[in-house]
Amino acid sequence: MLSNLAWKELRETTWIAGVALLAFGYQTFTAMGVGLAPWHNYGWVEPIPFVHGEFTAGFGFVAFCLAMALGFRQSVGESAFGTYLFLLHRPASRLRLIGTKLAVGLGLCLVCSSLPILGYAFWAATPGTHPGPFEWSMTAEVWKVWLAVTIVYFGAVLSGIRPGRWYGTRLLPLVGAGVLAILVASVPWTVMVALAVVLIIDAALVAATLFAARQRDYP
Amino acid sequence: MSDVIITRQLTKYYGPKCVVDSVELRVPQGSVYGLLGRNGAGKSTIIKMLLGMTHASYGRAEVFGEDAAALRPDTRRRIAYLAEGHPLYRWMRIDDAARFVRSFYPEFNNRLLDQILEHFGLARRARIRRLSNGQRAQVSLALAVAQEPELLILDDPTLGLDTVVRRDFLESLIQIIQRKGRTILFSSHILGDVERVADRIGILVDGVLRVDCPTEHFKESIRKVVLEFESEPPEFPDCGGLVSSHQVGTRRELVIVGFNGEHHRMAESLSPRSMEVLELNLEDAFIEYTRGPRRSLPILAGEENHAQ
Repeated sequence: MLSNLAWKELRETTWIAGVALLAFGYQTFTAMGVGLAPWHNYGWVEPIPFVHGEFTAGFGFVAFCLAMALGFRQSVGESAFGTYLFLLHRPASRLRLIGTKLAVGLGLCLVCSSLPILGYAFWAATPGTHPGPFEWSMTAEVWKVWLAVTIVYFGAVLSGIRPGRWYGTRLLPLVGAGVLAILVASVPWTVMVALAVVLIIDAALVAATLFAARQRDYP
Repeated sequence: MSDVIITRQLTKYYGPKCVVDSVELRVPQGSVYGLLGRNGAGKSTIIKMLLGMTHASYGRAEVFGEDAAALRPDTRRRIAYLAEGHPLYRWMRIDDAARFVRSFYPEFNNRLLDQILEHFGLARRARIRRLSNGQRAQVSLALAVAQEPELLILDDPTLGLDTVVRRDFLESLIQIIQRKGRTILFSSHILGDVERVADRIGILVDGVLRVDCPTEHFKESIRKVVLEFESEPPEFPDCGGLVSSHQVGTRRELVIVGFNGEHHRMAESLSPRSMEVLELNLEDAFIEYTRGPRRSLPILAGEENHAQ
C-alpha cells in the first residue's frame, strides 16, 4: 500500500523535479562554458571548477527553490485540493502516511539536486575539458549546500502542515529553516560536521512535522 | 442491538465559537442515520470528529468502541468515508484511484466496483478531472462500497448534484443499504433525501442535537397549531415540546413536538377564536425546527416601514 502512496507522491511531484532539472541543466552547462541561450554569460564560467563559488551559489538557489516547491506541493497541495480527508482516512497510521510523503519528497530532492553536482564534477574530472586543476575535495562546499537543502525541504513541509493564524507565523518554520540552511552551508565546517548538524536539525523538523500532522484539525 | 457510534458531551470550539455543543449521539448497528441541519449547524464537524480528522474540545466519541481521536488502522478499514465534495486526486484515472484505494484494503471487492461503475456508466479509463460533480460522487461511492465496510459515513453526499443524479445516487445508496445490514451515517440539508433512506434522524441546530429519534416518530409527533384571535394574540406559555411560537398578525403559530391533551388545554386557556392543529411533513417540520426565532421579523419590520 505504501508503494502506491509513494507512486502517487512521485506522480504529483515529478513535474517540479523536471523543471528543477532544466534549471540545473542550464546552470551546469553554463558553468561548463556551453552556451545554451543567446544571452549566455561567459562570466559565469569558473576558471577552477567549484572553487570560485559561482556554480555553488547558482546551484544553491535552484536547489532551495526545488526544496520549497516540493515541500509546499506535498503539504499545502493536499489542503488546496481538499484531499487530506481522502488520504488520511486510509487505514494506515498517520505516521506512515506522512512519513512516506516525506521519504519520497526527500529522496526526490536529494537525487534531483545531486545530478548537477555529479555532472559538473565528472566534467571537471575529465582531462582536457578546462585549464584548471580538479580534486574531488574541491566539491566539499557544494555538498554542504546539498545537505542544507534537506533543511529547507523539511521547513517547507512543516510550514505547509502546521496551522497558523496568518501567513507570517505559518511561514516561520520555513524562514527559520532557511536561516539554518544558509548557516550550515556557509560556516567552514567539514562535510562530516555539517552532516551531523543537518541530521540533528532534520530530525527536529521531522518530529515537529509528525506532531503537527497528528495534532492539527483537517477542516 | 449494539451502538456503532456513541458520543458523550462531544463539544467543539473554533476560537470562542462553539460549533458543536455537548452532543450525545448513538447510532445503532444496522441503522441508517440521517444527520440534518442547516449550513454551519455542525454536521461536518461531528463527522470529522468521529473520524479523528478534527479533535474534540471536550467530550468523547467512540466508533466500534474505540476512541475516535485515535482509530487504529484495523478499525479505520471497517469504515468507509465520503467527505464533502468527494475529494479525489483529479489527475488520476478511475482505474488509478481504484488501484490506490485497493492497496489499503485486503477485502477490496473489485468485482463489485466493476458492477457499480458499469451501473453508473463510468469507464475505468476516464480521468477524474473530466468527470462532472455527479460522476465524481458516483466514483467516490463505488470506491467506498467496494471496500466492503461495516460502517459508511457520508458527509452531505448529494451536495451540488442535480435532481436526477441525486435520485440515482440515493437509489444506489438504498441498494447498498440492503446489502449485509450495513450501518450508514449521512449528513444532509435536503430533507427529501433523508426521508427516502433514513430510519432514524438527528437534527442539529446551532451545534446542539435537538432531535434524535426514528424518522417516522419525528413526523408523527410534530404539529403546527394555529390560534386565531380577535386582536393582539397573547404569549403562549413556555412548556415541554414547544419548538417555536410566532405571532403573525392576529394569529399565533405554534410548533409543538409530542402534541398532547395538556398542550391542547393550554391553547384553549388563551381563549382563541379558532384553533387548528396541522400535521407537518418532514420538510416543514425540519424548517420549523431549525429556522429559529429570526423568522418573519425582518418582513414585519419592512411592513411597518411601508405603513409609515
